[in-house]
Amino acid sequence: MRALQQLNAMILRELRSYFLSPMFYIISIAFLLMNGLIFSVIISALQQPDAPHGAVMKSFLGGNEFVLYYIMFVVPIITMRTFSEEISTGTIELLTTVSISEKTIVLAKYISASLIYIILWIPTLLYPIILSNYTHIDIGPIVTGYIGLLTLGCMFTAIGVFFSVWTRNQVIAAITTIMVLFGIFGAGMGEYTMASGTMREVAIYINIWSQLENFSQGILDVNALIYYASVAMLFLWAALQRAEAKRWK
Amino acid sequence: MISKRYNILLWLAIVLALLSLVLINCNAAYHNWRFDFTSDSYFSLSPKTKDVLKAVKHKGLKVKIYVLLDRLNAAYADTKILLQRYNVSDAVDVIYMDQDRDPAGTKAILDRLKIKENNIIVFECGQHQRFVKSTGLYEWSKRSPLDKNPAKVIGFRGEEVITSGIMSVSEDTPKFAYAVIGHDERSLSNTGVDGCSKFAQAILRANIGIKTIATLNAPKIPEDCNLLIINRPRSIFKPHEIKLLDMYLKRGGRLLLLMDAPIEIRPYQSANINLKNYFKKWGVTINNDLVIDSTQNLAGFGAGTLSAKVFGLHSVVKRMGNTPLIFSNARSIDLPTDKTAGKVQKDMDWTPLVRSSQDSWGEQDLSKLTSISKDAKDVQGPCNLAVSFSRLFKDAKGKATIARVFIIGSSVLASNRNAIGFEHSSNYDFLMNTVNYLTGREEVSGIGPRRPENVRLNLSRSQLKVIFILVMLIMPLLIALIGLIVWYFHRSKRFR
Repeated sequence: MRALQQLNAMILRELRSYFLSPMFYIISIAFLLMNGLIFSVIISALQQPDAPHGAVMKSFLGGNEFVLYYIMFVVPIITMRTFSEEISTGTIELLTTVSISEKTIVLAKYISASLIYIILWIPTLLYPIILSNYTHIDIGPIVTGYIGLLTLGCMFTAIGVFFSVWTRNQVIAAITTIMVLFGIFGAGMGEYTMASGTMREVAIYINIWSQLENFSQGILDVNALIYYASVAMLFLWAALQRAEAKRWK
Repeated sequence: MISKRYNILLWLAIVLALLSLVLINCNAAYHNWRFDFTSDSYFSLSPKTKDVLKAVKHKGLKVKIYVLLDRLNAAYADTKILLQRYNVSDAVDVIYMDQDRDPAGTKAILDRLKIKENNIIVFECGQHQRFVKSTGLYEWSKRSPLDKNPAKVIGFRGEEVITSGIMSVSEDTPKFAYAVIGHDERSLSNTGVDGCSKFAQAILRANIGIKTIATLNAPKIPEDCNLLIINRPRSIFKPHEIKLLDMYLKRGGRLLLLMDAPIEIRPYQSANINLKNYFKKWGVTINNDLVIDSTQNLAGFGAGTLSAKVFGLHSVVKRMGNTPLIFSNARSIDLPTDKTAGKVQKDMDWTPLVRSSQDSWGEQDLSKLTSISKDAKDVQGPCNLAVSFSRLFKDAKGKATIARVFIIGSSVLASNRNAIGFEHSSNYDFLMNTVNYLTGREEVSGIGPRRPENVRLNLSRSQLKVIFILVMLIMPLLIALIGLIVWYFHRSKRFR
């Protein structure tokens, strides 16, 4: 019970520090501008007489690779400060000395960073509402599309938190995370570069682009959710090990 | 010492954690936990396909599906998502081949299967093989010769094509439908509005071959004929042809007979008299009338065009629900009633499939169609518009065979006509269910196309501008405003 109270308090503390930081608003504005631009481009493209079959929200939530690219930049920017900042300013020492376990700290930082990522997407819910004034909207693919984007982002957040524990330098934490995320993305591209074989089967399974496309098409891909959850748990566990090791040192 | 032990334990834990990750995901990869949330179940398999897969598995067969589609082709993505659903079954094995990255492997398979096509899906089971082209996976919009824009996809027929492919290679012998010619029938190759080329394409997509037969000169109906189609004959069948038909049905033949109301034929009373007399002996009367339904008349069409509900529990119509079919220039067909049942041939079984409403009637006086009214001479409604019947025959050796006949009182629903022809989804389902049933493929009866969410937005310049301002200006500005408010209150609180 006490651990839960500590967790709640820690999450609120983290969220408060995000909301009071100008960085959060800069990221939010950049995020909305990017999303707005993609949304406008898709709408303009679907106006053309020779436009392919498809729907705006399907294209927006996973039918274009740009969404994936900027998530891979936005998430590391959110997570880079989770531990790195506390390590560089020394506030992490304070936390560990007030009998809050490393588990609570890692979990609280992960949950709050994930919540921030989810909050970034909330304004985009207005897009389907705007669209519904002009065309028919299929709710199912929109719901699954958001589930895909949010869960994928939560997996990325876990990876970002892990790299943030390792270094006191926020830029290094962000760059390392971006590199690993692009590595995961690239490994999945093996689906299109390899001809056949087991490695291609693995590439198909871990291909986050095609998973996101499936979600945006209206498919709730539980296999992908298992993949995201297992990777997130692995990195969080690793982050916890690192945090505990630091305390012993 | 403690540090060394800690390191060993840590490495062990890392290995175990990675192993768990791999095991969890390997286990997940063997299952297909994907759920379709689209409003029209675009990517779900129909119960019919599931029945087919079960039947193939029950036979102990395995169908290999080679996907040789260009990965940049739109069909690749749609087919891949759909095939994930098939791949769960033990009945199929999906193999993706890439002509660009693995030309040798692809060539080896194509050479083995003796196929020279590109962008195809190949089905193989034992000695049997079939392939379909990527264009066959879609239903395309009509395009006039003056239209510069390319034809658009209006429906995805992936499931129908793939299920038919699986069925055709898992069957022992290929299926053939024979279309009777020589009586001014509606042609299955005619692409005009009066032709039935779309019906023919659907039959071909179901992997049923189509051949024609001129019964006047033919010594017999070929042995490989799984289905005989007589599509609106407008001239008389000679006794020799009736004899051929009788021989064919007696050996367990399947017949699909489509006959319009005889309004175009003069004198209509004598047209097809032999054919009608032949079935009269079976107890089935094909009336010389035009079915009129004042309450179900289709708006914008003549009095002879009506919507009719499917009827009965026959497997052909059982899964069609309550969707009406469109009949035009239809005639009624009388089945044996309780009173006449004793007089008709023994071992006969019949069922009505489609009926008009209670308010309908079969207009007998076809010479005065400009002023139609119901009178005592007319066939009283509800009228049977499509019927099915079967009859048991025994040959000299006592071997039993069952002849199955479907008579549909209008051929317009098989035609290429817009709105009232084969393109009308219920008409499509009904006819394809019939064809599949008669060729012994009840399981695959009428898997309809999936309609993609085809939204080409038609926004005005000002509407586009409003959206652009909203998403690119107002929304980011609102966030900036919230940020400023937070910053202001936080600052004033700090300095208080």
